[in-house]
Amino acid sequence: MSERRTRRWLARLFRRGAKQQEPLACRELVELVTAYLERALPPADRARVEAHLAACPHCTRYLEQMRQTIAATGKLHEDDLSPAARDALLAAFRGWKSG
Amino acid sequence: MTSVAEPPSAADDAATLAALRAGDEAAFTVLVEQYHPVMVRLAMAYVPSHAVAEEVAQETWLGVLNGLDRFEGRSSLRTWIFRILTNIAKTRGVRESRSVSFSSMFDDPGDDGPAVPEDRFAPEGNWLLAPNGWGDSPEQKLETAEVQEIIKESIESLAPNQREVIRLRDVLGWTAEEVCNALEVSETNQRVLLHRARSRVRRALEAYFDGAESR
Repeated sequence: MSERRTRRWLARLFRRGAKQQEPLACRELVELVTAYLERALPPADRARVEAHLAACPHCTRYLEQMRQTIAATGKLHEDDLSPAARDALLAAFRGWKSG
Repeated sequence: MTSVAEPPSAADDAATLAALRAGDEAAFTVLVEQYHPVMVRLAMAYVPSHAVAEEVAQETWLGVLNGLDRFEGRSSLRTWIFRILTNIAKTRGVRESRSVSFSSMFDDPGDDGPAVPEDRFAPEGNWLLAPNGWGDSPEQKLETAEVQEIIKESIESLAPNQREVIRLRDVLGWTAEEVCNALEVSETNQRVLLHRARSRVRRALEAYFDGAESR
């Protein structure tokens, strides 16, 4: 590697390092919550989120409320099958079976 | 009916398929009870009326039965069923000439603003109006009929693409992968749609709890 390329490479590395260590603002964190819960964040971003959460009770509460929201949404019930739809579908099934 | 369930395993699917092929009416009934109402609702995102959505779902079941021998198990059974549904729904939607672009419905998450309104943050991005607590044991309150109705209403008020993603993911408990496959949406867009939907539902709950606090 030429010296110039090495220097460029090092500069890039340092820039990236600096970016990773930049703390997250709360405004940014709330937009990363779903990706965080889905485990879809690159390790460096995940670490930034966790560092922020460790120091910020408001965002910790926000994350907890998102978890509670998800759990509560899971308690909803979809509509039940109407008797008319069931009859129509069973008739179709019998037609398919005999066809 | 269980709302959040583990996805059926490949072995479950194989057993269901064998039963269907053998003409087992009970197996078909189980499947229909589980998925038909969800299918009708999803079809509603593509076609103009409940009646047409019902037709789309019924047509889908015929497609499923007639296609049983072609199903190779490369995706889960329910993913396959929902792929057939969305294809039929798109075709019907175009025929009924709804002015929505179906191919892009899930590809374009749109832009409906941040998860939390801008004015709740200070200029440097930290909380100005941080979220209030939801009281002691909010889990119990979240399961009351009143709060469940609030959640339901806030989901109904979402854009159709957000609504269908949160319904499949959080109401029915599907995995991200299944939703991506069934709706033919990219992983990133699925996540963005889910994020916006969940953020909106949280805000509806926050409004409820903040109101309850001041009463």
